[in-house]
Amino acid sequence: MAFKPSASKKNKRKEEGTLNMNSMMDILTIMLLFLLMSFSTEGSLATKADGLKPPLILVNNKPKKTLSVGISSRAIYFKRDPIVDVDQVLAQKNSYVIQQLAEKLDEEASRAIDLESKFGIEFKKELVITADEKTPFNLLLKVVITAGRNQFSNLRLMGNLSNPKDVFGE
Amino acid sequence: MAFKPSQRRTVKIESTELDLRPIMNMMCILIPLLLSCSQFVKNSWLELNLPPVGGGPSPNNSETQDKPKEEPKKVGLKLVITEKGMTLAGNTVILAGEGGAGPTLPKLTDGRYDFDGLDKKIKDIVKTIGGKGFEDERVIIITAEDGIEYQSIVTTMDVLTLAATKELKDQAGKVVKEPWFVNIGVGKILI
Repeated sequence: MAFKPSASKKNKRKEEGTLNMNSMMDILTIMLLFLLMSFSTEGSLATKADGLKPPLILVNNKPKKTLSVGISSRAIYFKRDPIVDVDQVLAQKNSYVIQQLAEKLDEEASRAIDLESKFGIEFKKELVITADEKTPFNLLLKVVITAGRNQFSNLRLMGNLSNPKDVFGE
Repeated sequence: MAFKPSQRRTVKIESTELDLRPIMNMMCILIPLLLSCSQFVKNSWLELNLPPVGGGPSPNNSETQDKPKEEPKKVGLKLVITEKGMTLAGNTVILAGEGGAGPTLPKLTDGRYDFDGLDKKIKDIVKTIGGKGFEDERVIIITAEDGIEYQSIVTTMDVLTLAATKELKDQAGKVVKEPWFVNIGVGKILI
């Protein structure tokens, strides 16, 4: 019997398949939103800021969100807004109070006291200081004294949790 | 003229698929860009206390004059950080370095502060003053020269916190260890 090629194979049409990108798009969209959100909130993913590299800390304390003051190599920030230049503060030789920061803290303290009296929300007097690792001591002290004078007595120095090898360089 | 139906009726509505490739390309560029601009970190904090404002009670105060004077014993521990090293001092004593002069813990030959030495000194001090009735035995004030970097201050605070512990019993009677120095402050020595 002569060989008869398979009719079904011969007539099989090669269909072009299209890649379904919907699920891929979903994943990418979620990732993009997560990354964008991480940039705008405190979390494990931190933006590299020019002139503000927090120090390395060995003691493990879980941070919590509260009022913050930032000290970069260029400016002092209150709630992420620059309020005064570092050079200007360092030039003040006779005063340990940073006026611009004092005004902002006083405003915040008044608001917190008002909330405490009206709604019973406790004013914890907490302030987080996030400073660059190279910040000079006298600048730090000025910020600390200004905070203390404006009722913020529970201060916390924020940094990046690290291990002794990185800190002591051994 | 006879009615002629509109040709619009014959227009076929074709369904077209959305071309997602340009959006995909943009996403593929944006995500690595955002990832490269950030770093994964774990935050932590150190508690900082302010030195008490003002001095003790006024000597003219009638209440203090009537009562018999019982001054609490105070050790007044201070740690001074300078460009040359670290000096430990109390109210009445300054711990001298090995040579008898200079800071208690001079900087190491590679220019780093002697944090190992500080750890040992603090352990010795805690053994010496612990339980002797000093009111401020768990308080230490750090002061430094104007230009001392923040990282050095923070590492010093870390060493002070981790060097010595105190054992306490909690409400359930379980022994809990907590850092010896519960009150680490910063201040300025005014001469």
